[in-house]
Amino acid sequence: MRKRFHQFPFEPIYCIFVIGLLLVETSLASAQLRREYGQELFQQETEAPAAFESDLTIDYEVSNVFNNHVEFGLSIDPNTSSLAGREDPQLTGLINLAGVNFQGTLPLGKRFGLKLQYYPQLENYIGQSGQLNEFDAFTDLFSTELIFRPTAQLPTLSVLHQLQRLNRRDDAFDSLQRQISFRFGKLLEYNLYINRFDDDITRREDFLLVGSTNHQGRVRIQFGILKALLAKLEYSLEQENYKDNLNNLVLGIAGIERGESRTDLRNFVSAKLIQIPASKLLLQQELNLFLSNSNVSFYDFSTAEAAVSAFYKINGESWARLRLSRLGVTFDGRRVRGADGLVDENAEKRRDNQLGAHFQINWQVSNALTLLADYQLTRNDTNEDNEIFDFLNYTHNVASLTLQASY
Amino acid sequence: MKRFWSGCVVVGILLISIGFSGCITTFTSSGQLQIGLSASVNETSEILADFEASEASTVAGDVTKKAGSSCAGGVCTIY
Repeated sequence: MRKRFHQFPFEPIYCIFVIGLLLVETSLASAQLRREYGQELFQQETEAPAAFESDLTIDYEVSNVFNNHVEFGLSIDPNTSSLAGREDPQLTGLINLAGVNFQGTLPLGKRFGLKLQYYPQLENYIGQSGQLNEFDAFTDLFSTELIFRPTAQLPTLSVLHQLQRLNRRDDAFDSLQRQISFRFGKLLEYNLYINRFDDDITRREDFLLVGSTNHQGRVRIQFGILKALLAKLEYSLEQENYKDNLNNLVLGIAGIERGESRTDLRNFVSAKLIQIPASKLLLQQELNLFLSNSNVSFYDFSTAEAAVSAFYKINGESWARLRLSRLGVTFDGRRVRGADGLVDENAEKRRDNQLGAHFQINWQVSNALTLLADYQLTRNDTNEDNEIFDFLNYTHNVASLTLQASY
Repeated sequence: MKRFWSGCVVVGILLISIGFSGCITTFTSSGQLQIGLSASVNETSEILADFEASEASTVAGDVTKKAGSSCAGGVCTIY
């Protein structure tokens, strides 16, 4: 290590000195420019944030979702599900959702506030011959957030605790997710997610059906470039550790030894450029990179997504939004199979390509009533030629209509 | 270690660039750290707030949040 460091032209003390000097110079330069050009150049007018006020809102939400590939959003465990033996992997269905969102704010002195939320929701699945009934669910969310506003100029510091209970008709899905978050405005954020299933003994077919613990850190900065041009940068680092109650098929494919568990380290970088060419029109271009490193090479992958969005504000709360995207996924730890079902020595990496279109229109029917229509189209193609992976060449349609009433 | 010091140098260069370019660093009313010129987009812009509220909170490309197996004919394929 010492030898390697000597090859680099910076000694630690020298580097600390240089950085310290840069900070001092930056401060002096800023002070000088401030004197020359006036205070107003450097201080954006910040509205003094209002003190916490008692507040209670109740939102009723009813939603109908058509999904022609319900199976991509749900894990179907062949040990428990009656759907595992069907001939066609594709599941088409209608999902009806109804929920009430209670949100309240309580002031606790001048600088502290408490936000409370309770959001129970019913999910009803309708498929051919009642085949999706086992996914009918009741979800229950309760969150508490303590907020501290140190000064009018600084963003808030907050601590959040959230519990979310999922209860499906099929008990294999029943689980409790706990979230603990620390936030400094939107600049810095740490989230801890602990997901535990009621049954953590039965060996499962999918990592989404076993418990996990996730630590996530996130930082966001935005750059105001011109009057109508804004750039945003976001970076997040996440570590997720999974439970090991998996069946032999998953353990064998993933190469996990008995007693070992899967741990993923994920990096996410996002860059966005926002333009506002007219008062009612907003355009955004974005590039998203995602890199997952796992101690189980089967789950090593990287994705790159490029997307463009257009947002048009009609009036009041009415708006329309269109997003077009292209996403490439490369699985570094997987090789494509030949027609014989075997993996050649020089086989290429498994790659998927996705083209997506997402259209939303939000219509404010009255002061308390809004209607949201949403349509998502995704076309996925894989470079796997083997017929057992044919189901990965699919077109996914999701269309939904949501009615929201606020009081 | 080399990467760490390279990172420090980059951060230093970024800070001095911000200082000498006349950029301002402020927190917007929504709690974002904004580096920019005085004429930059007003964070309180109504259309920007509506657009951000309409954005989904999912992370693009995170396939770990999707189901990883498909079952048919009594056989499950891990993908």
